[in-house]
Amino acid sequence: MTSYEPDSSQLFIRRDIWRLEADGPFDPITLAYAEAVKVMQGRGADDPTSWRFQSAIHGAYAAPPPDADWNQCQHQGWFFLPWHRMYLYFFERIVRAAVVAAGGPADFAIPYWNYDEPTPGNTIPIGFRTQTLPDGTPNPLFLPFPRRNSGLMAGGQLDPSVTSPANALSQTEFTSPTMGFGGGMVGPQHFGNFANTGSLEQTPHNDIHVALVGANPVGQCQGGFMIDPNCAALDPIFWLHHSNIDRLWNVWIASGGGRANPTGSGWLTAPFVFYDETGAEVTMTAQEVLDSSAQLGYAYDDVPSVEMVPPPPEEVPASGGPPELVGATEESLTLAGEPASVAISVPGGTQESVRSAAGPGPGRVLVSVDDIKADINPGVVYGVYLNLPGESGDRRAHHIGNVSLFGIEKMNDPDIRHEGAPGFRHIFDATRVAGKLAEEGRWDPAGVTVTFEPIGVHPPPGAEAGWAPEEAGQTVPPIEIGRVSLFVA
Amino acid sequence: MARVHAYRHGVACTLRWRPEWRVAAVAAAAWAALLAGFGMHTAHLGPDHSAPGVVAGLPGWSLMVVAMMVPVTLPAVRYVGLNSMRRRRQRAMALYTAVYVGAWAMFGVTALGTHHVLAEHLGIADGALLALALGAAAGWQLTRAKRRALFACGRTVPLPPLGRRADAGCARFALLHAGRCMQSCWAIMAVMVAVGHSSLVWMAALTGLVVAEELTVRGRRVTRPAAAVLAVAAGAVALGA
Repeated sequence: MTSYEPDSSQLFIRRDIWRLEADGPFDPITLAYAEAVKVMQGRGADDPTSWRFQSAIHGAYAAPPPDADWNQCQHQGWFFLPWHRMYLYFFERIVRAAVVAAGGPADFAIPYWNYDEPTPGNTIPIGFRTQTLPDGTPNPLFLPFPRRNSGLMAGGQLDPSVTSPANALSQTEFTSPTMGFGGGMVGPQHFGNFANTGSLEQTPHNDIHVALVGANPVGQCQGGFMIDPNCAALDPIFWLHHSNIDRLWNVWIASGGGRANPTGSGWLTAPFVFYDETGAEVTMTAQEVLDSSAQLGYAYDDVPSVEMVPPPPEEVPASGGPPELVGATEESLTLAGEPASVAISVPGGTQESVRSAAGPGPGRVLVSVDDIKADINPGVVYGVYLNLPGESGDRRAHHIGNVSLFGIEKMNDPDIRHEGAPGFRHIFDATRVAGKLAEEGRWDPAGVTVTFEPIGVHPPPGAEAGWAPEEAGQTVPPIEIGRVSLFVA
Repeated sequence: MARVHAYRHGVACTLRWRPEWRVAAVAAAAWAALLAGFGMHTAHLGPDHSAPGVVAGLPGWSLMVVAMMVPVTLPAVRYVGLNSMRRRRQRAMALYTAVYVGAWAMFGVTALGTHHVLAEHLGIADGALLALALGAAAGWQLTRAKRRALFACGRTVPLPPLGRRADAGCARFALLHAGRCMQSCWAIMAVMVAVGHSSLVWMAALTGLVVAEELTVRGRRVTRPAAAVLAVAAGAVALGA
């Protein structure tokens, strides 16, 4: 095993898939990708350059071949971004080698899917919804229901609350005790705890993984691929999704305002194992992938304008203390595909701190969804709303984040190590919503209501009539939420 | 003066992020007491292995549990502290710790009683018992159950915010973690029963192992080497017994 020294003499450009496919499903890059996928799918599972082996590096139910490093993906912590950058980098080299061997474009780079754009950007790229290649052979980029959500495969649109990186990009800290862009400080781990999930990892990353399959969950990779870490990378769209996540890391750094990668050696020097295009085992560390252009020889074709949510106040408020619990639910809550609300009462003695946290100043209002349990990922992204006024209200103004359970199978596995803070929880920064309510005189410090609503797929423009995706009649497996808490800082 | 004020403010901030510091101080005090010799004479059955010795050994056992097993549960104590209302934070952490130590005390009654039966009624020599305990600890280190217990340290239960339900939640959480910790460490604590708990060297070494395994990522890499060391120790004791 050797430390890898990338050849960065040539700059490869990763392009927006929908711009590539502006004139049809099979531009040269998409077609080359499809042909390379076919080649890789034809290789044996014990070949490190095969489709199945590459997917299994992320996760697999099957036992690995001797000495193979499978089940390595880093989630729910600050290694999420660098690990997936390395993973995508070596995958891209393998695909490029296959493309070049087949006489395809030598400047091939994995495109990215920027789903946070109006139609068609927020729909699955057309090359991934077309059943056959131009020569009439099956298109390996096409996966039918239940591998993917039937509504999306029919041209349905993703909801902006699932696709938007705005909240993640507004974070100014890569890692922090309560919230951060890149994830909590944990040791290398496969899966740990939702609480250490970075903002970008949650939305759009996790939400897209879940939304692309939807409410047709079947375990052990017998249903949708993207919803389960053990088969997510079998779906060719996985790599375009992660190309976009990787691009957003660059966007975040380029946004300035003090945004910076961690500098501690614990993050910079932790080694991870991959395989290059020759099948050789190589190691790489975060400090070798900080600058994608200079260190790895690739860049993105564009840094689009992103609607930025105003950054939250300073991470450490004047008190310097941790967030204070000011109220919580007494009973657990079960979500099963229907909207549900819980009320949190704030005792009189702490109402003043709730009032001031929502006002001008460094205060913060946090909502924590605690002790989450689910036997299986239900395939539903639940939007979380603070003091939602009802059907007529502006939902977006009350939206504080999403609950989706990408990786719950791993978290339920008693044979996987979980690092970091205890408790399976999602934490949401509700300061912006609370502040707006306070400005409008609608912030009652005596209590709040937290509403969970499933976020569905929207029909293609003009196709609302008769819209009936296959997932509509499915029974949604339950999620149990032990407690919903309100914290102020 | 300003520097002193800033220092105090810094310490206060740190302690607010570490509400479990009082419980950590109790564990430190237990170590200090043991180092000073308190509890050492009652922390084992004594040469007579008498039945009253089981009861007499409980205070010393409890002191040893506080010294050895409370440090590994400090993250859970912190979780309780940070997830409780301020006005009942200290009560919640105290309740958690009391139930956790109480559960270990019950384990002590069982372990000391078993030792009494083996030594007194079956006449097994102390050296043989120690070799047996060390062998069991070595074997347990390699089991899936041990590994699963270590991996489950992040599990929590809902903690209601107020009233008796909050107390019950804390107690339930303490029992969950005591059970998990016993699943991980019962064999190591059985060694302490066999060794007579009177050896601070044994206590320090085994506490170091348990703390490393429970609280650090790299520490878990010592699980297998520790099994080898325990097995060698078992062999050495057996040969010398």
